[in-house]
Amino acid sequence: MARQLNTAPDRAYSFVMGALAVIGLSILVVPVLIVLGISFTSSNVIKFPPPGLSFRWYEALLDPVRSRHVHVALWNSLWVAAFATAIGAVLATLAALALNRASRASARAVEAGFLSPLILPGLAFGLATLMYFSILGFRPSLNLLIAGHIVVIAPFIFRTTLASLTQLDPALHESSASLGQDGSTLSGASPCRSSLRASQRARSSRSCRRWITCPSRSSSPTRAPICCPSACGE
Amino acid sequence: MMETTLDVRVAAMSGALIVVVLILMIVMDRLTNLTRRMSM
Repeated sequence: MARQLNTAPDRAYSFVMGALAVIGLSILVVPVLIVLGISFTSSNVIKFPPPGLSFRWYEALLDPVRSRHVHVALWNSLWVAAFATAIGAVLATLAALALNRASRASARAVEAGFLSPLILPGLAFGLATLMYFSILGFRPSLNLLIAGHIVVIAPFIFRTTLASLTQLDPALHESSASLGQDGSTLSGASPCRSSLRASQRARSSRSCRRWITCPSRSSSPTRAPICCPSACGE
Repeated sequence: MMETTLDVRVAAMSGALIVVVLILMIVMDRLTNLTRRMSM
């Protein structure tokens, strides 16, 4: 529902929030636009605003001999990004799954620990990591870069995954039991898989989203979203 | 306004990466309906 601006304080609030949003977006987006503008320069040096526009530097990128050092740097960046993302996604998702189900106070402390790299400035963390691994005797390498990037990337994945998991209905476990999961698999290694399967069924059945109160096979009857197979035509 | 002696090919590679990331974002959003899922 659109916010109605009836009073002067409402209009002032909207104006200030809009201005702050524009300033924040500008700080994030303008440097990217400047880099894009510089890349089309016709001069031999990086200059902004560019004196002329040309595709010559994009053509120079295609030369494998003259641009070899740039290609090697690009390959290193893609290698580090791919491995750091893959490993960080696995570790952060597992951590989010575990901490979402934990209700102890220590879990909140562990959660704060996982999010702590977010408050570190990237430059300070990079320098500190380099010094730390040098003291331990490790030479700078791509593997160390990957490790450092995992520390920076994982909190973002962890936070977004945890936020999505908190929106899942905890009754999905019991609803999955009513959909056919037996006790051996529920108590084993697949409580995640049973919830995932139940949530997938709930999402895929767009035409039959209705809430049914139904006693499940578990000890306590529960109100859970259940897709009646006959109604869905499955 | 701003001038430096860095290699301009670095800016060109950065521009190419920016465009590729933008295209990937749009493609992944269309494939997974992420915007609709996030707004649900």
